[in-house]
Amino acid sequence: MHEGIKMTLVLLIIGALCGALLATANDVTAPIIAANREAEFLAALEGFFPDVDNFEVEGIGKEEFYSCYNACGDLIGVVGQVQASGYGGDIDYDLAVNADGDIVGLRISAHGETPGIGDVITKPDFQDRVIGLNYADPIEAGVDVDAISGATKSTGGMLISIRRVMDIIGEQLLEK
Amino acid sequence: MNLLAIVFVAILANNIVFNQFLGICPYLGVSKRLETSLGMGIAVTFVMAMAAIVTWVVYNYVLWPLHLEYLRTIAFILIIAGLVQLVETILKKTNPTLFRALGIFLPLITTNCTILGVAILNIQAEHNIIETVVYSISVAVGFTLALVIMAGIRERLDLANVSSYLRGAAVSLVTAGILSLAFMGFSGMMTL
Amino acid sequence: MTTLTQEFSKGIVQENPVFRLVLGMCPTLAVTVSAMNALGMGISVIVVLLCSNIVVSAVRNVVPAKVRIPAYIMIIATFVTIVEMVLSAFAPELFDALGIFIPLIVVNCIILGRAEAFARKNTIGRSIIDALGIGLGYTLSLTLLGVIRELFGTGSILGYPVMGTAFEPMGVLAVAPGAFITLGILLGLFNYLFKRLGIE
Repeated sequence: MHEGIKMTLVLLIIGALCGALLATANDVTAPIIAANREAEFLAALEGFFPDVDNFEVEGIGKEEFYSCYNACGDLIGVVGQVQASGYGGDIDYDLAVNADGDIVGLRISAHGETPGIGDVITKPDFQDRVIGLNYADPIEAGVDVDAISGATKSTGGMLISIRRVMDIIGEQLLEK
Repeated sequence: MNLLAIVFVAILANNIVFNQFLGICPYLGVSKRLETSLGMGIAVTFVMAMAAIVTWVVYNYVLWPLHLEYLRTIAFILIIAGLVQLVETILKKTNPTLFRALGIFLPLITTNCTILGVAILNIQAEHNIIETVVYSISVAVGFTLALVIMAGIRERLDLANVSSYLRGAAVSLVTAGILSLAFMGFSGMMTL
Repeated sequence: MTTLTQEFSKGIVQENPVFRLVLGMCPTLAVTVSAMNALGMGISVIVVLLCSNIVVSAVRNVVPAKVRIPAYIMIIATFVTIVEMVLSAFAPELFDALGIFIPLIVVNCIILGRAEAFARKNTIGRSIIDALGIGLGYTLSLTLLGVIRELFGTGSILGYPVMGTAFEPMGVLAVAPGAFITLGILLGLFNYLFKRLGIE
């Protein structure tokens, strides 16, 4: 019995020490992690809209939309943190649309597309085809944007998703 | 429909061994014979489903409400180790036949990274409890499939004339590469 | 009694975790898409292995043999979580690239293997040397695989293009099948090399 108590005690002490160590480490790193994530996103926001002063967040479905305002309080555009279905799973990206409904920026933050094939969506060539399109444009593969041959699933998936996101931004956020 | 997609993606398109690179050690170690592969697969399926449910409940009802998310890894691995021990003891007492068949695989499962991996993936993907169960069982079925395919190939490979330098792990890895190439054909057929 | 130099070098050559013992395969295959990721993973493993070896060796006379495995698992999981927090705070890009394979260092057979086979029977000093040797052996192997896959898969090293514009990247090396095949061929190559050099 004495042995059993010792074993439990040793495990409890080790567990408590580990827990305390982790709590300390968490206290030190958690604020840095939170600040990093925010700084990264703010930098992206400013990249899309240089004169952004403040923003409002709205969650629609599983996605988040940031309405950006300038110093005078005018709506200058909306950035959506959204998702598309690609060939290799989900593609996470930010889409920036200005107040006139023009796409001004596209940033892919995470994707599982095949390197050398599907990852063309991260390259300037594909991004240039998308930037400048308006809410009123059809935004459809083969109509006003050429899908990139060999990667129709990746580029097509992106275009379908962009059309969907443009509808949400145009109808629910810019109209207000 | 969504659940069907989870099953398809977990078993074929994102097969845990060929696409996600988890469980490679048992894949290389246990896939020498068909029966042992099947035994390992069943043991993994059983433990994975139980571990996924318990870790999901602990995370969503204990760690998350108490803001102790940072204890996730340590809590999950202890749960898995405890669970394996529990299954081993219960099986030994209640069903000695099954214990003889699966017993040798159970200690190996604690360090099988698929179990911890799937527990964490369920949390990261924000699955609900039903999705968690379906996903975990599907992954385990995919793991068993990979093991059984490999065992079938290896039983024939043993008779083939392979260079002595490539025998064992080396040729198994190259074979896995070719299988993985085949499984890539499933990706993109259905997405979540 | 082996000398400290032998203790250190065994982890790199005779007991190289990847090419001799074939351990820790999951991250070896998964994170070696680029040399940078491979290096990051290797260094994370060195840190965890070093800390766990030190602590396991320090408590080797205190922990009863029956409960040593859960005790070691707790110690390892603690250091893994700390590495995870530090990476997330100071190297967020690496953290995102390595993803789930950071928490999975807990079940990397190398760490628990060294605790069980070495640290619990040896002094702290020797355990440190052992951890550094094995960790470096693992890091070098991972980086070698990372360099090969990045060089031929994307035509660059550490993100810098080196192959010139005429080079057509072999995309297959950057995805799953490429990982298996490259590692398999390297393993065969090292088997041959070790045999020729007379290392068994």
